[in-house]
Amino acid sequence: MSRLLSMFTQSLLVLLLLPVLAGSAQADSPVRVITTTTDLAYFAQSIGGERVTVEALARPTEDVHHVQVKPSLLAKLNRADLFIRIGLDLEPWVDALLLRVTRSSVRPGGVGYLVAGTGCHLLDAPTGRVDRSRGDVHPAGNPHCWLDPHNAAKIAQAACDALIRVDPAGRALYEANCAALIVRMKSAMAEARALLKQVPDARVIQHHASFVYLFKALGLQVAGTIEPQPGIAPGAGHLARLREQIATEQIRAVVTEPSLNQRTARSVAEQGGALLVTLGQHVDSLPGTGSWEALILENTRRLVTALKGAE
Amino acid sequence: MSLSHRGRLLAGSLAFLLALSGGVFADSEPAAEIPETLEARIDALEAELHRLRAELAELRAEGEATPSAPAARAASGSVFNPDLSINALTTLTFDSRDLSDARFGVDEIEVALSGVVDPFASYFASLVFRDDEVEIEEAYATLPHLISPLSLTLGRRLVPVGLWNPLHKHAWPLNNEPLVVQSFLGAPHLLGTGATFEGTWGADTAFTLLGGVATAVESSQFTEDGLEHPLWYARMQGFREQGTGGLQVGLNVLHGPVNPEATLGATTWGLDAKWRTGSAAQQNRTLLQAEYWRNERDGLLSNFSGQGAYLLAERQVAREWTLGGRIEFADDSFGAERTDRWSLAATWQPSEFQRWRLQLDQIDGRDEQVTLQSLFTLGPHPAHPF
Repeated sequence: MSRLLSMFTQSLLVLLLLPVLAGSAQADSPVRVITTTTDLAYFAQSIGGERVTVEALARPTEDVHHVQVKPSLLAKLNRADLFIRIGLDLEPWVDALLLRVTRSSVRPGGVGYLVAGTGCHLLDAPTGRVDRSRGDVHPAGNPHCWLDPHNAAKIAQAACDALIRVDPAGRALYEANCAALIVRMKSAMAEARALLKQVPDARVIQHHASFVYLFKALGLQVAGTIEPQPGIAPGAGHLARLREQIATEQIRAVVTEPSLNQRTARSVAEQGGALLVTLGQHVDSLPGTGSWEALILENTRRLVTALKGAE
Repeated sequence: MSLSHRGRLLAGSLAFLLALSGGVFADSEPAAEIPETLEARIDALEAELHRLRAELAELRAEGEATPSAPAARAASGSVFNPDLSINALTTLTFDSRDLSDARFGVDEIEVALSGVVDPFASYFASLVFRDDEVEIEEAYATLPHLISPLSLTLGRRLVPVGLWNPLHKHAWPLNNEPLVVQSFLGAPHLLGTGATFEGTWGADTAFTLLGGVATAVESSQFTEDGLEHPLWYARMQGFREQGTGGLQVGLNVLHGPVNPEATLGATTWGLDAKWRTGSAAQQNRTLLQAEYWRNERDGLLSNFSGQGAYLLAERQVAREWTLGGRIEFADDSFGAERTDRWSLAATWQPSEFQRWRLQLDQIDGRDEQVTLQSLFTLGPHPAHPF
């Protein structure tokens, strides 16, 4: 018993010393920003520049709906000055972290907590009764909203406002960087639209509804979806109908993404006579996509190559 | 050490922690001035900034004119309701000793409520309907920054030691608990009512320390004869992030009296490790998990002394299919009553909210049991830890 009590007391002493040590390390340090996705991390880094350090909790090729609640994520959040998430039911695993995070400022209602997707215009908002007969449906609408240029600008502006809240001294820098970022994003989207004009028939089959905002912005039409309902695996009948649709309507591309297993999408594309295109929905999810602008352009180039190549 | 001494130690520690926590809530240091090298760039962008501000103001006005669904929900007031989830487990069991004695029944229905109380606390409660009885399985408040950087949990909960015990039954990787958990912690869980302090530090490599005291609640060696003495427990855990998963190792200890006079006690030590990689979406999720527990009881009550361990492996082989297996043993009185078991399971999960698992267990090389378990989930349930 005495051995146990001794161990318990020693553990408590270590715990008591940690806040003192942690506090001494915080002086004059940059604003620590933690985001759920690499896209948000890119926005925060672009706006914050050298005044911030930024890290994303989810890997760029990870399914952002289903991230493991790892102890390391809690440890990172416990040290954050600003936490940015999309919200809109995109990252349900975050709620388990927020229940346990010890840093009060990054909890809901805190000065360092931002749900960046709140102001976005959402597509595919379900109407009527919403229940799980519709699969893993999102009641507010499709949450993959950052690939739309207007939504991206709103998210960037929200991140800028949040950085100013936690670090008012950086206001001028943040506003200038935010404006520059929005200019770059608009320019990239204009370039992407110009690239896509080379394609006469821009219809695609999608794997999961991750790119509806990008497709809308680029003027692409979604002719079908491999998942019959969000998050539900397709049956043989559904896949057969898709293959027939691809063949009869001469649809040229099937779009998938690195976070999904591509076997099913590949077989649908090959058997239907279309090309498989892997797009990235997050910054850094594909080679050479270290920025939102590069991601948009790389996705567009891949689409154009596939759609032209199938001609 | 007497109980009053322990109480004073705990109260003193609490007071010290509370005093220290004041500094944590202090405002952060003001950031440094803008570097001079950036001023020229700022000037050049000012005109563009004015134009973009006007554009953003338009965008904002647009957004305000068409509120999103969450905003509409908030306006309705339903957003303040706690999250409610139901997990219904049903099991069909065949036993090789008597194949005619197939048992089919509702194993457990868990009704869980969770929500944020105020900016300082959240609450979780679960009612479990099991064997025609209703039990409050968990009911606890979490105060995550009352004494930052430690969180404090108060109430009744699954004692947070080891890997298996803190998991709700519907989250178990197999249909039944390991023999060693059954023998030395509790069946199906070790539950306790009390307080737990927990802290996590680090980054990609994270360390967690937790310690607590609780009155154990039924179905364990610490609750014989209606004992209400305090059970002390502690866990130290290290975690290393690896891609989408990681490796976790933990050391656990529990100590509590096992007779009404509190003159005899039991100490239970545990080591555990868990490695998880891959993701469900990529259809390559893999889990390896092991726990070793050693139980030592004072005096004549050595029939509960012993040790046991299990090794569990699970691999996702297709989008909806997972195969798993476990080998294990548990010794009471160090070998006098050793039980061995192996299990194989195939799990079919057509969606996030429905699961079917067929499992074969063989005990001591002769008795076999087959169970088919179904799980249906309604509503949002908080994500379980790694």
